[in-house]
Amino acid sequence: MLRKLLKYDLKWCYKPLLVFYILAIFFSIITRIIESFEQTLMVLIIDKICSGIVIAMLISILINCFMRVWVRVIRNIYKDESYLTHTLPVSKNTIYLSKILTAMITLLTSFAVIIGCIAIVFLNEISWDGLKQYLEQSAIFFNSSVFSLILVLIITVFFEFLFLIISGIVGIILGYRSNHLKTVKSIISGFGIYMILSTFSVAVLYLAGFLNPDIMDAFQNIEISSNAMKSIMFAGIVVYAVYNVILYWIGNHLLSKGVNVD
Amino acid sequence: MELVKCNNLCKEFDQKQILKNINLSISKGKIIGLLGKNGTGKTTLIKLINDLLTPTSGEILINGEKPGIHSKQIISYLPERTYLDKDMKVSQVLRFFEEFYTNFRKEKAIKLLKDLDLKIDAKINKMSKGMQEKLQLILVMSRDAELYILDEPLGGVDPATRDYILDTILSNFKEGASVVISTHLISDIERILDEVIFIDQGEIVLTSPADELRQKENASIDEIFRRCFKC
Repeated sequence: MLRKLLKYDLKWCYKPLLVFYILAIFFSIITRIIESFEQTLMVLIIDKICSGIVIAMLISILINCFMRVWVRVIRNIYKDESYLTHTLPVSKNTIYLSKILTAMITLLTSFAVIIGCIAIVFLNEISWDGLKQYLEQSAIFFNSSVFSLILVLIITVFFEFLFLIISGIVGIILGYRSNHLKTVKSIISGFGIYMILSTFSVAVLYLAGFLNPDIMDAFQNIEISSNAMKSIMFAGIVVYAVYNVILYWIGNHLLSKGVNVD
Repeated sequence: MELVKCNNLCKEFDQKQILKNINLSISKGKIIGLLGKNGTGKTTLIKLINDLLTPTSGEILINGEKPGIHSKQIISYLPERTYLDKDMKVSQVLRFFEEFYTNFRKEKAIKLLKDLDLKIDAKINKMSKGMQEKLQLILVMSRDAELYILDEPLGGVDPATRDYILDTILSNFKEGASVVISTHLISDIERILDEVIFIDQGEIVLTSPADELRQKENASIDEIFRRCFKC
């Protein structure tokens, strides 16, 4: 049943996202082609316009990725469509898991498209050499390989964005438990969860600084050591992973207690 | 064993009691009218049975179990509102029902769609509200369920179509199944009822076999209802 639910959730979320993906890739290619022309004033203007459109599309992809998942949760679990969702022979936990998996999958593909578009627009021989050099230097600085450096970076950003989406979903579940001002309460709850936990993680990091002087470096100096940066990055991954698991559990627990649809 | 059993069921919203100590049994093979004025708790009771609301206290048992995956497999529910994804086509909705409900009969749904002149490739957002309601009724009645719960199936329907809808209900529910019809349009449905449940201000005020009640009061259910609620 999870596979079936996931299929419909993904279909719904990808409908507008695919349009943005296609537009972003299309304008990225156009920008790249225009950049290969001889640089005249008109070409420069068109190039800037296309670059602007690409950036707008990439931002839209990210915003839509979040919004579509949140709107899907509201419509499917609490609004008119919930009359169908909750009468399907599927447990509430499966419904919830499907939404979380949808968030993860759309986030991953959106990341891939965003990275791809940036590569299409900006990657050329010179920038590739520069990027390669920068990554190699960073890898040496972090005492790791380029591959693991990129992997750690992607995982950190992915977990951070996933944390934002799940905070919103749990906020919606909390907001819709009350009988009035559900939307306002959802926004306040979601934003509150995100801010409180983010602040908490900084506080945890600060406390960890007392045990690990490398981490304390980040709070006391502008320039920090590679060890401090490494510790912070790994702490970030662990903290966000833990938050995501805890928030997933809270949402699941609240939802399994039952709903009160409009 | 009763198909549905409610024990001391209560539902509150903002400290206002919508349902008060409901004790109710629904047995198999009956057509039951859940009758009451608007805002008396009919829909709340139905939503509780369908796990769309959480009871404040008391319990609901469906085939001896709390509402869950099993109850949703055997209950076919028609809500009073349109719940389908407006971006879907009728054919996609049929596929959706076929995928999720093992007791959904697609051929039956296609036949009913033809009878009601609904096109299979029509988009839901291009259909009128009345047509969407008809489509939902077809979807609900195309399942071989053990209990059909129909909330105001005649609500927004013109008198000419009401009879057709009632006939569709009567001729399509699975043999041996029960049907609960919630409505305030009693005269339209009273001919098909086996049992009646009167609900007022969140309480069940009367439960009786329809024929017995008619004989006892020497009046139609509609008249008894009007008398009972002083309409």
